[in-house]
Amino acid sequence: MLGVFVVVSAATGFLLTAMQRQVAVLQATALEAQHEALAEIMNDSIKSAVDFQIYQDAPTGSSNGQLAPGNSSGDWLVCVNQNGTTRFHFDGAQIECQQTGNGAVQTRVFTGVSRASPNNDQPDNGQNSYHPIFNLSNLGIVQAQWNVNTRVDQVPFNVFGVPLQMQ
Amino acid sequence: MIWICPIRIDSPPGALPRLRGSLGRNPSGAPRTCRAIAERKRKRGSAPGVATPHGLASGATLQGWLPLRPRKRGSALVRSQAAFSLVEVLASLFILTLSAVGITAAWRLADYQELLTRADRRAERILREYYELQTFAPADSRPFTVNASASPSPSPITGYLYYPKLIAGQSSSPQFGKMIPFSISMTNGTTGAQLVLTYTIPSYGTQASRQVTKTVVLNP
Repeated sequence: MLGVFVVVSAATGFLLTAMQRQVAVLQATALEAQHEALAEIMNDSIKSAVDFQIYQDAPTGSSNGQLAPGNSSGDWLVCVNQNGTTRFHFDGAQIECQQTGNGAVQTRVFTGVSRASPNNDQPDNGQNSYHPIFNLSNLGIVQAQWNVNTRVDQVPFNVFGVPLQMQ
Repeated sequence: MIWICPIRIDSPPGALPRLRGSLGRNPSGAPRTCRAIAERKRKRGSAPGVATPHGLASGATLQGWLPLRPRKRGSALVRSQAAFSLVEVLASLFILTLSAVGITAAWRLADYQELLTRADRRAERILREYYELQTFAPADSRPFTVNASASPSPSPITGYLYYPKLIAGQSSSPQFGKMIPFSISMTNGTTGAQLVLTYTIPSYGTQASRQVTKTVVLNP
């Protein structure tokens, strides 16, 4: 009886562990797919932008239809294209994507984000200093770098975009 | 046959005729069956009670017999079926072990296939990023310089596709590991310049590790 009880308990525990692991993998895959969609939105917004700016702080209102002068790096990215304005903001744990067009505002939040190390080929082990999500090279390439921390791994994301006027 | 049921079985005489040991006996070794009790009472001079198929009649109590509860028909048979024999226990252990091994193998295979799928998607994403950069970035910012010779680019870009989370408690070690290395290089193929991404997938069981190559042709 005791042997049967031990074996059944072990099998049940093993099955629960396997299910828990599978749930974690599925959640990681879903989270990665969401951030792939974010990368696609970001890439399209940057490539089709007629005006864009990167800010370290929350951007102020535009004047004369033009975006206020920004910085070379920061956690805010604003892209203006023919369909409207897309604003990306990293608040330390998540990236918020706000799309405004034809009077409608659509906001999506992508969680599980951490800052990428300066060399994103290396995993982020929490030892990197402050590194903005968005930065602009001297030649006009907009780059967005962030890491997605899932329950099983870390996924680095890099988005390179050359705005229309820079191509 | 060895019975490992922990309950005591009070069976009528003849139900389990081959049982030996302390079953059905008191600590002194005397049998405690109805027939044995009746014989002991008869030796003491008491009149025997009236035995019925369900035990002893109530009239026997007045003459010194211990009352017995009426027993349902076939109860001894039901009790004997509720126990497990050693063969049954061993067979169940064997089946459970096989099930555990099967679940483990299926789990590992599913995990491996999931890893391959994710690595493939990441490789495609990285290749697409560098394709965009190589195609649309200014010439000075491109990761690879267009070389007229057929030799590959001297400095391929390397990295890893999978950073698994390490087991907690290893505070001295980094939090994430590195698996599935990749490299991107630009070659001049028959259809023109192309980006080639190569990564090595880990081995699984008897299957050795192998290289996977993805190629994208650059626009002229």
